[in-house]
Amino acid sequence: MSQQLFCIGWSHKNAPVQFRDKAALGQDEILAFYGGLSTQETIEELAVISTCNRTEFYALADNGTSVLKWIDTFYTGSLSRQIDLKEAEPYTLAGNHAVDQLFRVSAGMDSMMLGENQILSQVKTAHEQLLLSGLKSPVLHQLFRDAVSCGKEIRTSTELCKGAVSISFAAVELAKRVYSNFIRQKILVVGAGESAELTVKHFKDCGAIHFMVANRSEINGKKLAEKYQASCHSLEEIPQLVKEADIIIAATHSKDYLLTFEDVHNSMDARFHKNMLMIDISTPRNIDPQIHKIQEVFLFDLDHLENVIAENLEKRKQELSAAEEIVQKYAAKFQGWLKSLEVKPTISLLTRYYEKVRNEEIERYRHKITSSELDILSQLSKGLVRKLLHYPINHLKDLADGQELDPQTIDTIWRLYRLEDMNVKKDEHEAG
Amino acid sequence: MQSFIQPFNVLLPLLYGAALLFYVFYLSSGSIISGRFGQKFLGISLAIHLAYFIARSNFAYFPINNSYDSLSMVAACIALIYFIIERGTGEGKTGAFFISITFVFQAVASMFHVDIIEIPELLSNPIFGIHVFLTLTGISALAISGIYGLMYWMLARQIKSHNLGIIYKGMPPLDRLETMGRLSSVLGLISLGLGLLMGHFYAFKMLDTFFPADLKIIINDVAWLIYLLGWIIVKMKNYSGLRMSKLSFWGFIGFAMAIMAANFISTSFHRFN
Repeated sequence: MSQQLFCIGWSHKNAPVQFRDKAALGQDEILAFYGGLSTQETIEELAVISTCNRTEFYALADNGTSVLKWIDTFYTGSLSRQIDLKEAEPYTLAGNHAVDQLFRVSAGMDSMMLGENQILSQVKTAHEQLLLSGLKSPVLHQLFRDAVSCGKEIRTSTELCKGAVSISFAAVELAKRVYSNFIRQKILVVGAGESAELTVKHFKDCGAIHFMVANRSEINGKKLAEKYQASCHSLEEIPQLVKEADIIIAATHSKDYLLTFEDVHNSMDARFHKNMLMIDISTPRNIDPQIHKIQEVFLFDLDHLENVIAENLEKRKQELSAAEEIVQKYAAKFQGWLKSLEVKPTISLLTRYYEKVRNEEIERYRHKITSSELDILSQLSKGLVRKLLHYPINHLKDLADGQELDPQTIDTIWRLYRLEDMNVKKDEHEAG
Repeated sequence: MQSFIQPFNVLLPLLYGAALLFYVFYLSSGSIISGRFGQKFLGISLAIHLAYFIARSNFAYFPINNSYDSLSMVAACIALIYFIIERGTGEGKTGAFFISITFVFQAVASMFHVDIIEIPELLSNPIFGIHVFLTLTGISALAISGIYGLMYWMLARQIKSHNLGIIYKGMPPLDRLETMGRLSSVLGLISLGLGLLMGHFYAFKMLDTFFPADLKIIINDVAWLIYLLGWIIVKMKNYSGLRMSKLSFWGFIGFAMAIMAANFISTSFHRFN
């Protein structure tokens, strides 16, 4: 039986977060999996991708069932981790489907947040880990190389990964419409929780350097301020800070307005009526909506940001068909490359084809000639077939040995002799 | 002469058209390469336009012998100012708006181009030529500044109303628009100021007085001074944002009205054919 590619895994599509947490693997554990492969005969190659939303095993093996069984045993045995496969049955994809899966994963098409960017670097990391393991994995190396290229092409030639799809990113994108860069802008962050920090992080990643943190709890405020080299202030200082700030982000759980109309209105002369962008990502809102009436203030709340996200997600969905075309292009290229490695099956099928033709011709004359004549005819035809196949087979072997065999050559042979039909018949015969 | 000029009349609209196409594509798709091509084509177009003016002038007179020559000159001035602004700010997303004006003006000028029959003596004077060029460039720059003010106003309104539509997606950020408008108004003030000064020199040469009692000159000078005064106040008061954009827009409207009024009241001066 020939080996083929399998993808076995769990993602947000088939496993709850608790299970995904249990299945997630660290770098050492992945290396342990690679180390454990030496005792395996049925698995030729193995690669693992493990992120917070998915753990997937890509294997070149005889069959998927044995791979799954080995994975299960390894989790419970070597990693001493109990994972109940009944709790979340993994998906097992074979052949083309496994290839397509990795290409879709690297493009962010299979991600929880459609078109997310982080996954591409995670696929790259998985490939690097495989390279570092020292395992001989020519097929999976090529697969991962193609997956990264596919992911990159989809990101550059489609809009699948464009537009913010998270609240904090949407806030930064909005700010980019008012300010071309954030180097000179002073950003006041009201709150020091997770949402506030995430937004600060995104602004910092986009070049912002001047942060001011205002928080009720001094400890939490200082913690965030120290992390981002910001100044730390109390909530009472907000009216004063408004005079300096260009961008204000409110992200607390306060039930009252922390920024009132009066605070902002009174600050306008002191700030020479400069533009001010306010982003209120708190529930309930912390910025008085009346502030919107001030000409120089651009105020956005959670609803506005969610509308932006919904619009961007819709646009990303519209890009799926274009992205799928690229996936199929890369999948066809990979399959072609894979086929070029299949010189032995090609020779076998080619021989089978000639043998079939020979037998059919012998059958035509079986009742017209004597048995001794049939023997002679049979020997003659066998010799002919052998001689006819001698040079093509030797040539194919030489090409394969010299690694000069390209997918087109194999493809031409398969098309010329309709070897696909022969292959199907062979499989049917073996199955029957 | 006609046969020598004719290739320019075909080439210039084609080159500006190509630059415009690249800018439009840049605006709609965000393709940076397209934006770069737009700028390159614009640079080439300006160089060819300069060659056209030199050919047209025959090194003997300033090439604005008729309305279509003037239109071609205005087209070049707009393109030149925009080119400087784009080079200065690195922002090409507004190219489509200004180069479309240049393209239309140059296409009309090329289409209705007429051969020079009679050259007025006035055009042979280099001071007059520089005066016209600087004045046209200055007015074009102030107009561009006004348009940037309007763009800012529209984009700010769209952001404020949370209607993140076509303008929102295509336009540069607000602060960039403001910078471009400011740069344009500075270029306009300097160029127009120098242009008016050259005009006064020319008047001194011709009429022996720096300040001839011509209503058109007075209105133009006063309008420029008011614009300059406004600009100084804005700078001193540190105005920015929406206030600044409104001032740029209304400032130019006021200036244009003053020039139109001057032309309406006094038609005698500046006429030479």
